[in-house]
Amino acid sequence: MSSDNLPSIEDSNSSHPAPDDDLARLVRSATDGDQQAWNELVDRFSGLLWAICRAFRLNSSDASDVCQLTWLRLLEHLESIRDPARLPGWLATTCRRECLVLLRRNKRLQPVDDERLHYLSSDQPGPGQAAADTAVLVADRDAGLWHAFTRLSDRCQQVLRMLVVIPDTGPPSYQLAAQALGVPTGSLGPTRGRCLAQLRDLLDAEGISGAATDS
Amino acid sequence: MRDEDELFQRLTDMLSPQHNPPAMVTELAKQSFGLRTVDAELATLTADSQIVGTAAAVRRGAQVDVPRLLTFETPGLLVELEIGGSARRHRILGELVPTGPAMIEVRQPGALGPRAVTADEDGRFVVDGLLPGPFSLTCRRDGRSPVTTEWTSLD
Repeated sequence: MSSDNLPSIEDSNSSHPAPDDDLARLVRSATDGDQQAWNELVDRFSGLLWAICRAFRLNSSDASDVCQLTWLRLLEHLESIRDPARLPGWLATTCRRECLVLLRRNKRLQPVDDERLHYLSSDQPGPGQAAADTAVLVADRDAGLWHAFTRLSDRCQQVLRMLVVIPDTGPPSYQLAAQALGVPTGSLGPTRGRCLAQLRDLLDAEGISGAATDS
Repeated sequence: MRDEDELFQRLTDMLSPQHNPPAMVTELAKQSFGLRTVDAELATLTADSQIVGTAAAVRRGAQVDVPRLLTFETPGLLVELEIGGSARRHRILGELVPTGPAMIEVRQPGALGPRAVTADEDGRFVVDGLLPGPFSLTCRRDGRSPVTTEWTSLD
């Protein structure tokens, strides 16, 4: 049984356990066969995995498959997770890998190396993807922003999508996003700045303000 | 800098709804916990004819019936699989090396429970009626520890 020196087990209502302690407890319990602990892990990180799949432009059906496979992958390797604090990064990297495997198998992209993905033209669905499934519902007020966003390079779109989703999961956003993207952590800050500047230029060119107050 | 962060926030508000998983995806993930095998050696996928990407690789939805060949390995066992059958119900022709009889347990999410088939003296076995999606085989031989193939997806 796990040791009893973690305050988080006794005081979950009165104190906030350090995120790493909490995560370590969940991983240990799940490894010991605790379904509840597993469920908590799923609740905590499903959003991360789904968003990574969407950032790789998988449709819903493929995203479901990749998410499922990623969780099964974790099941296979639960015993070998030595440092539970690294679980988010492990999940992000595994999900990324499974996205790439699926994309290669389905030949939706050109044959690629691991560093770069060559996308089909940015706002067209890929072959075999239902247009309705990849259509994006955006509020009217976001139409201009969405249009500008889709005119960014595929790389910028992918990077920004990843940065948008990852802060929700707790760990430092750049590190986890970098793992999901397979790039050095230090490159993300400058890339973010560059991409946002390009987005700003596109919005200005269309005469659209980036502020939320516009109708 | 401030303008940049505002723009990023606006982007976040716009994109975040696209990033929520459907409830079904989360549910399936929770249910997968029951599919875990403990105390089995993991056989990794070392060859997949679909990834090597010959011209005969099957495109999703295509009717061409080209078998997919998979190889899983541990130091003590090779599991060679030929995947055929129809798009909705796959059939596996399997062979164990070294040859010999074994009990083969078949697991898939979405199946009602694990199934078992027998590998004969030549280490050969057949599994019918596999659903699209992930599958895993656990091979149990007398006097050896069980070997489980890593989860792999069937189209």
